[in-house]
Amino acid sequence: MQPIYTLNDNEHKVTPLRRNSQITLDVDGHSFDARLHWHDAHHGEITINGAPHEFYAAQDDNKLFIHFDGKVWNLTSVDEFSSASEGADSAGAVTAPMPGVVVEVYAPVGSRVEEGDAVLIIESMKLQTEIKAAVSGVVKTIGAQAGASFDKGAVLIDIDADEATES
Amino acid sequence: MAIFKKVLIANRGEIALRVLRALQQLDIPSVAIYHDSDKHSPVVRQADETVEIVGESPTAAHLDVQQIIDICQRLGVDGVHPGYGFLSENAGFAKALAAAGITFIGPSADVIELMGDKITSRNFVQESGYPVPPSLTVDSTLLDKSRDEIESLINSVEGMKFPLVVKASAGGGGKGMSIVNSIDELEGTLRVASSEAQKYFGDDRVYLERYFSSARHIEVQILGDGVEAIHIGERECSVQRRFQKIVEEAPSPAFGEEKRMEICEVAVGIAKSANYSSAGTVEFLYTPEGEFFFLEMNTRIQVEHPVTELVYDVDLVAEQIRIAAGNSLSLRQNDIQKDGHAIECRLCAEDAFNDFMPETGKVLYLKEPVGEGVRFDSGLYVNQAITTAFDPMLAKLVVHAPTRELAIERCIAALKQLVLLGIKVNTEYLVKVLEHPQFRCGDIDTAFVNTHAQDLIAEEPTREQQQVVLAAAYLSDRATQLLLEATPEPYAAIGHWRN
Amino acid sequence: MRRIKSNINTNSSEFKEFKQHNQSLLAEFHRRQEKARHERPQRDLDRLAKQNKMLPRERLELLLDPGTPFLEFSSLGACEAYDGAAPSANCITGIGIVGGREVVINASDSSNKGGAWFPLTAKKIVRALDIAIENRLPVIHMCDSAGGYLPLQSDLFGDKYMSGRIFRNQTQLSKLGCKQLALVFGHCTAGGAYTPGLSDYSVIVNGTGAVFLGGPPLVKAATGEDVTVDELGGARMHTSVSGTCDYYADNEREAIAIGREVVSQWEQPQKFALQREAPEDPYYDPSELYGIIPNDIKKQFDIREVIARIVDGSRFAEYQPDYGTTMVCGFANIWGYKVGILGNNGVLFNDSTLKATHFMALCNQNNVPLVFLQNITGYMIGKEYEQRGITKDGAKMLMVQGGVDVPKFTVMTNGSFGAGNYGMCGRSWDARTLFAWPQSQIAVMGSDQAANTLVTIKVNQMKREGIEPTPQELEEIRAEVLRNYENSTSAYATSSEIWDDGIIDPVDTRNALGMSISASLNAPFGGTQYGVMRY
Repeated sequence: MQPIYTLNDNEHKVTPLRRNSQITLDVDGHSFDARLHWHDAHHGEITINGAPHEFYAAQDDNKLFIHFDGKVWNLTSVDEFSSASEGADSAGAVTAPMPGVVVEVYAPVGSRVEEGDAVLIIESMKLQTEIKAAVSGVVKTIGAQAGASFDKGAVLIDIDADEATES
Repeated sequence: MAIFKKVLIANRGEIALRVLRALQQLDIPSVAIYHDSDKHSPVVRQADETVEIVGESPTAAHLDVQQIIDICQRLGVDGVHPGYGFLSENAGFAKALAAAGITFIGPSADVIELMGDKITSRNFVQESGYPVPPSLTVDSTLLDKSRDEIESLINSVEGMKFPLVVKASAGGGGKGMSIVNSIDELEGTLRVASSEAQKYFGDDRVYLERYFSSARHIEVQILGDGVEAIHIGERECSVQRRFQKIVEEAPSPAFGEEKRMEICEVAVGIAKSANYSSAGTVEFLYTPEGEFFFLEMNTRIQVEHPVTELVYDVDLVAEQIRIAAGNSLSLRQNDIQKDGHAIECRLCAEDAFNDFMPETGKVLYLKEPVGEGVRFDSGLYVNQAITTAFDPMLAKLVVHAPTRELAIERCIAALKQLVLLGIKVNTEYLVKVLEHPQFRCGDIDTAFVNTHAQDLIAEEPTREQQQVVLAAAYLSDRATQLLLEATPEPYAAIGHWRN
Repeated sequence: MRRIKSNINTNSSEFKEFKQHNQSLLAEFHRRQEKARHERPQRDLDRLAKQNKMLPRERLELLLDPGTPFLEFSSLGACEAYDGAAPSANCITGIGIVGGREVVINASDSSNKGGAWFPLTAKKIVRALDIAIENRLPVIHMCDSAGGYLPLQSDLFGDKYMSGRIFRNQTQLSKLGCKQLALVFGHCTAGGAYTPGLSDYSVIVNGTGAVFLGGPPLVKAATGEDVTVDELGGARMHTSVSGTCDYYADNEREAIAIGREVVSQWEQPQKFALQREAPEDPYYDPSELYGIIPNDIKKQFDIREVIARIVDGSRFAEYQPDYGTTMVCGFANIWGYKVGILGNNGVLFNDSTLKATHFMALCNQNNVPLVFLQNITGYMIGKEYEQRGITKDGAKMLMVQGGVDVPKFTVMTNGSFGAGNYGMCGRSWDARTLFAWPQSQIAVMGSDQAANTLVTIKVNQMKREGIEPTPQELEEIRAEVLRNYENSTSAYATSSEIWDDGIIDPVDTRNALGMSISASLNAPFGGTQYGVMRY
């Protein structure tokens, strides 16, 4: 197992090398000694190569939040499980760029759409966005019906692309 | 002094808590209403009485007039404070309350109708002799006209030219607004705007207005009792993204006393013309040439009211309640004295460095900033789910200091001190705004965010920062720590080793 | 406990000479390891890449817990056999940490000849599973093997300790309560299908993993049935229809992640509470071993200097320091664990033999594991010693050593000749692990004696045929006999035959022993009831 954390869209490898009274960590090929002291469940002090740093931390499953140096750092620990729900790697699939609600579906399942046609309108907070067909073909799946909400990354629509488009 | 027997707070989040504070100060029993998703929020824990409201969605529940009136009648409520958003500028709600013998804490239904609708209010203001920006009302026939006809129609309005901005007549809070740079974009934009207007406000009327790309957004706080009206200074709200304010301050760094008096007096004049009663805000566009135009009037308490409260030492919500209870203004214009400078930052659940994409999550940890002149208005609580059901604004950080420079410093320090974990919030972005040299010298307009987009980007982390953050993450990550603790002796001490 | 006082002068010319000699031996060792682990036919690498398969060692690194060691067995197994066709015996075995549990790994090496089983592959796997049985360790099988290597099938199949023993050992492990997990990365055909079949848990990778008694061509030939690999034994079929495998994985990474999750659910074993102290690094630098081991196997060195560079704090409580001095015995800690150490400082005389016997009995009664540091030319021979009962005394030593209940560990530090190999717990004597240093040798007698004996036999034979060799011819014969003998007794030769659990760099001895001791504590021992005899 290789612990990997995503920070600002970059993957970083963090490898523990040895642990006794302190821990030797290797971060992206640089190793250093670290020691951690918790003031309470969320507030700690980490000493790296002898220099202390205050931080706050909280975790929600594989998402980690660190407050350090006056700002919050959002990290995700990368796991190796492939998620079935993320599936949709077909050319016709459009995933939600942000969480929101479907306002209106223009092209129901089974209908034909041309590349660039608006297939549904989503709304996030105060913005309505048209979701356009990425390919010409027949609508195979609509991820959420009008009024339904969805999370970031959800498949909003999947289109069975015409043969010609695929090749 | 006449006062209410019991007041229902028809809102949620930070403003519900703000209204509750005012009620507590005035010794008025309070009723909080809440949707199930807010059942653990502080206002529900702290109000004297609480009632759950239901609806197809949390928003729908808060917009259900009949349900709220039923609760008022059942509990003997004689006043309703609507906060901002939801039913705060809904004349129908004010009327229905009045019909049920309950006081709407805000202006009368007539005034809401007059000033709340953008088209009628701008006509009213124009007729009262005050300046409005060039505009064109769009009716259903406009889109049927030919391109040339539309173009000549636009040209027929004096001072009207591209870029234009489309606004919903019933709109507010930046909803349903978009910019049109050329006639080519007009049709599509109007269509979407109209659909949005219908969805948000149940009213698809939209209008076109000339868009001043480098103007400031200045607004004047008004208090009126239907007879008298005074102003409590202006606020500068030019720093906006997606037509929504994110940094507001009082006073505006834009002008001297003379211009300030001029614009404030215009605002008072407008309020008086409308026999305005309650707190309200008159919004203006202020051009680099020194012209100002009436934009709209907000007949409610504004999100950014705390900056006025801190600079002028008034309690605007308490004043609203006193006036609604039938009291005349307790303050005179002379009582209003400016003291120092205040800045408000809106903390929003969004990825500010990625086109302000909304973010969802859960509040895992919260440590509010504290210090001299720091005020933190929020309804946040640990374990609160942040969803797209409500507005992305989570809290407001407001600071007060003797000077603008000091206020900026205090604000930056407080933003850095705030610890809110579990959801991406625009804190770092706000720091970048406040630290920007143009902001520091007060040179801002409504295009600030776009003009300086290349400066308002996330700072590249240093290697040392990354090391600290990654080490802290690794060492606090439950999964890795459990694994380390499970490692039998002597393997952790031997560490990574291959023979 | 007192620290050993080292008498090594690291500035001496001898130290420098030895160091240079040993470091060049080490370089050769590492070169051979590198070759055995990583030099692969391009054809095999291309095939793996095409199948979207990881290299076996990449899989292994993903499986193991971060920041933990892996004690690999027999990295040079089979390296002197089959003209080098099966590097590392075509498989990877060892002890590692997965989900915080000590496990034995048995991984096919599909990067060479499709991971086919050579005779020594079976031997190496059987040994790994024996280690699991002896130490009560769970096993993770990483299956990706083409099956038995047909040209050598007769050396692989049928006898007691050949491939069938792998599956027999799987059943014995299960009987002992040792859990097994199979990660099916490739085809498990025929006998190989029983590895996942006999495992408690199995994960199978879609597309590349398959399990069946007979593959599609065999099915076609036998019954005429046309069937695809996926229909016959693919991931979907086995996880949703047959129930032969438990978990479906989209890819190898996911299979490993699922495997890790499975192992994390296993109960943490209650290990034997061996007397333990906080570990302390050796006071003397272990790398000084390179300057201590002589450049000639016939040169003597003080085994205490070796002990000082292996044990915690270089501390050693020596037993009977002034008696039977060719046998060094005493207590020490390795990675905190209390052990009794037996090391050779010369030939075994009667007194040193009896001292070792007594010390082993003490350790066994005291529940202290034994570590043997072999550098032994054998038991002393001759009239005087026979009259004093050296055979009888040696038998005592073997009887006690063979009878102790505590775990034993052996390191071949240098020579291991004759019956000394037995007395000091050679391969036949069930050391839980046995490792060899690169310059060590194992033989029934030392090379000079052996060469002299062999030359004598040869010359006698020539004389019978009427040939009188010239002195020059004699010298040539002797040199050739010596060369052949040394080649067959070298650590590379014996490790290739899996007479040990691998050659190790001397500085790695402490970690190898630490892990071996820790692993051994999973199996119960102790409770021996007898009076210790002063032999």
